[in-house]
Amino acid sequence: MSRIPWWAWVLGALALVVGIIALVGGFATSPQKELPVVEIGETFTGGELAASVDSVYVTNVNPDTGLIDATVDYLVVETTVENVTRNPSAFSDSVLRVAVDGAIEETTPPTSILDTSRGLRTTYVQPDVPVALSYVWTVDAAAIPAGTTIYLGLFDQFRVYGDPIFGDGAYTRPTVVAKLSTEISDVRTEEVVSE
Amino acid sequence: MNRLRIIAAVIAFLAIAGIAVGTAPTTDDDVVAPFAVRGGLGDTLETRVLTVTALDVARASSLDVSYFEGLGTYPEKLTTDSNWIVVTVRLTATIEPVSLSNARLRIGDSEFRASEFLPRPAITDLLAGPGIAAVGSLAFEVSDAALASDGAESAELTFPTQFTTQLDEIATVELDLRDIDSVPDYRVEKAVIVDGEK
Repeated sequence: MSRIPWWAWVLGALALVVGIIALVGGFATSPQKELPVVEIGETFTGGELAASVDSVYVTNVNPDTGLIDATVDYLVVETTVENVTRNPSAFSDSVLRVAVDGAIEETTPPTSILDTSRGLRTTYVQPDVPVALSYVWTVDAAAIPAGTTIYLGLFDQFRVYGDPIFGDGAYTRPTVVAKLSTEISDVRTEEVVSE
Repeated sequence: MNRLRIIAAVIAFLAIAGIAVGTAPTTDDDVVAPFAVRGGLGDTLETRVLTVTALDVARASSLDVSYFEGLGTYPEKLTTDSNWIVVTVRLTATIEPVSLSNARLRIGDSEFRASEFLPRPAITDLLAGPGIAAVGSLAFEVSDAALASDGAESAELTFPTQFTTQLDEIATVELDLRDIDSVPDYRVEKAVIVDGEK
């Protein structure tokens, strides 16, 4: 039996390693993870807030002031939000963004966030106290007619540990974690009442 | 004999070192934690930046805030499916005007922030100057679960006046929220300056 050359040992070992990796699926194509799609009324629970989109409508009445400006409309997204942590959360200002072709960029923050039942602006969501919030975007009048598709993203943020400045108290930038889309079917138009 | 002394000294040194290590703060938070100035309902608590007294505590499912004096309209009632805990406080700043908008109510491991919904003039946006006392209410929207928890017996109302509270004094009012009867409607009074009183 002739002596096996050293390079054959190396090639053999390499083939063995590659074979084992292939066997356990190391070369399989990693499936691209799709964002979860939620439905209207379905709750998505993130690390800080659980949120559901309950309804979407367009109105010409400013939900914040009750006034009508003929040049603008308002896209209103009604949600239910619950803080699932043990501390007050201000993340409600980032948990939802919308995109409407030609009307609202996905990075545009809402013009106002209102406590729906009280009609008051709000920032903090208290732990274990569910609240109905209306997210309002101001758009040009008639920019969102009935039938327009609106894309909605639900966002979350993640704690960063060992940050050189903030230690364990830092968070990542808000990241989209679920999405849904719907067509606008509810367009409310009120006439200006002259006195 | 000398050897015994050395062995005893080494053991003593190791014991002391063990105690030092065992009792050392485990996180930076422990090292720079604020100092709580504690008291109960009716006690006057003096800290570096304010003097505060919790005068009264109430529980309700609706707040009557018809005192609103600003422009425009405001709801006369603030209802909730949870609970309102309303604490009336007397506040005097000592160095510079302070805000109570960061006031927190801690019940067990849950922490609630003073509600933003009380209309002006509220104690949360009243910035009275040093030495000028003001009286007003703080409202906290609190879950049923928190009030039913064991922590409701030893709730803490704290008054951090700055974003960073490290090594600062924090007035801390200890409250027993278990036996407070809930009223359907609680009338909140507007915050007022109380001239000449601390």
